[in-house]
Amino acid sequence: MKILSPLRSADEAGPLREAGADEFYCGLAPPGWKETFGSAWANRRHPQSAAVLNEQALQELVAAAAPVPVHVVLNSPHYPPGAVEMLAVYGTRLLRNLGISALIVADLDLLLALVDAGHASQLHLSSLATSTNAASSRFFRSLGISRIILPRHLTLAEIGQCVIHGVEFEAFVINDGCVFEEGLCATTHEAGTFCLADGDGLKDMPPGTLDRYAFFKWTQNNCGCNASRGFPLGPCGLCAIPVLQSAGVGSLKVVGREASLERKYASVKLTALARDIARNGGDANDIREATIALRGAASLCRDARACYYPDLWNHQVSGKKKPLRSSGT
Amino acid sequence: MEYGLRIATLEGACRSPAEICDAALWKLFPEAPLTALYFGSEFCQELLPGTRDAEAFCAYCKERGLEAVLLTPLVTQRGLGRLSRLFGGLVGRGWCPTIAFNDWGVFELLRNAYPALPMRMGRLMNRGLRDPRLDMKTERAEGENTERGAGIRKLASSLGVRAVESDADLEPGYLGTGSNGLQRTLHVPYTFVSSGRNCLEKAAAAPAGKGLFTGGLTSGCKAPCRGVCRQEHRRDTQKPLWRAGNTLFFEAPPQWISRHMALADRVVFHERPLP
Repeated sequence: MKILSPLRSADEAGPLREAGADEFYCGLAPPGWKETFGSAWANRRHPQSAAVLNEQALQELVAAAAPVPVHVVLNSPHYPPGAVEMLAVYGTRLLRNLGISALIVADLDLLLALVDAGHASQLHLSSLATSTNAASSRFFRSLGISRIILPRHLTLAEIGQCVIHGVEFEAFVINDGCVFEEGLCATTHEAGTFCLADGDGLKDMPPGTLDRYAFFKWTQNNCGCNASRGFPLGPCGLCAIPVLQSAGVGSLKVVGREASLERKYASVKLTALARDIARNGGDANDIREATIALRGAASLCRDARACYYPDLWNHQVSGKKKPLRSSGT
Repeated sequence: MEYGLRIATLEGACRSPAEICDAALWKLFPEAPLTALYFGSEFCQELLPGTRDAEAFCAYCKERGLEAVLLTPLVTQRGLGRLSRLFGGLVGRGWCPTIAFNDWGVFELLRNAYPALPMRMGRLMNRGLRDPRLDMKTERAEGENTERGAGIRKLASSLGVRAVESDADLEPGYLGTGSNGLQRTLHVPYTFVSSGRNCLEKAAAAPAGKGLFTGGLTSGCKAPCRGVCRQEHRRDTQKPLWRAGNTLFFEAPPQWISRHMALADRVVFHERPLP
């Protein structure tokens, strides 16, 4: 299984490769984007805090990353007038002239324009496009796209049911949760993170419900952006890697383009540790033990509080947690 | 122009839209016939009707000469199986309701296994911005941006879809000009803001510590949200917000609806927010 790491500048490439990254993704806007489209985002993250500065910086980044492939994120769920046309042309330039391996796309208009331009085999469907079942996988495979990035809120069994032959699959394994289904959230972080205040103004909910919701939202927001021993806290699915591997998921997504190099490095290193344990036949308990030993913050693992895939721990025998077996899904 | 009604139950379903529409909003709308009823769920697979209820809905519509439109949500493989059984049951008994799909997997299922069922592209397929904290985009001198959604409409039209649907988002235009033969349908007045599987209503009904949010995805749901609609207030918007089931809605201002109406062939009225 490959580890897909976020990347923002050339100087991050070496350390992240050393930490275990097998492929990179980054975001940037085409030249002239801001002049034409103002504050609109070319992808889902803030251009100031998460994007590669410009085309020259991208070329340096690609050179520094080599031979590790670099994918570019163009995954805004919607674009202003004229943007799809510009991005379709720029996507061609990225793939043909700038050494980019694949484009990560959510907007169907842009996806179809890039398919029409002959780039289907270098397109990854963003999780924002919400492909959540095998028939949907077949639909996107019929367009010729090469990879489907599965949305966050699927169980391991559901992920297994999405996987079909003829297309690659990628799943989230660490950092940055979402309270809602990201693809069905029609708000923008440009105006602040909408979900963090969600529910606060509700009345007449049963006692404790909003407190539990607040805790859930806190975990999704990387536990208030806290870290333990330098490792970011927050949603984590590392223990599920053996099951994901068995299900046919080929790429493990580390989230956080806007994070510091230290946080990116720690996240990739932790993911590589878990992936290597899985490669050597270790199970979820082995990964959990090793992760807690390195990262600490054992309380977040208690009751699967911060798990991306808490269904991994649904089976209990004699009071002891017994995870799903990797061959049992 | 023609009208549809989004209904929750068959009881008193066939009414004039004027009866359920806010009086000030109703002034925007011309006299037009009621042609369709909408039933089912756009946001949650746990709320899909059983075959018996769906069959009763089809019969009710047939008696009144109305199009029966069955709304379907984004689904997992289990939800897809449930839909397949539902479609199969209806077709097997001679019913052919129109299906509003909000998932390409559902579209794929319909196209391959139930080609007799007419298809409409549901409003969740429009991923345009609907942030209640923001104002609508100003209309351009050259008119609304009907290029938005052009690719998806062209694809849908070429694959046999009959209609494109939306609610009032921040930039009118997604419904297009109608030039590709798709009927353009606008849902009013409740625009969805956010939806997902980490359902607050489901968590509220779960035993303490059980079935909460992602931890509850594998547990069943008895749909405690049925009939429940909670108003929600936020400091960062004055728009009225409602939580119904797993989805948050706001009430689109009449000015917004007015701009979208110019691009609509059918308007579907919702008496209250329904997931």
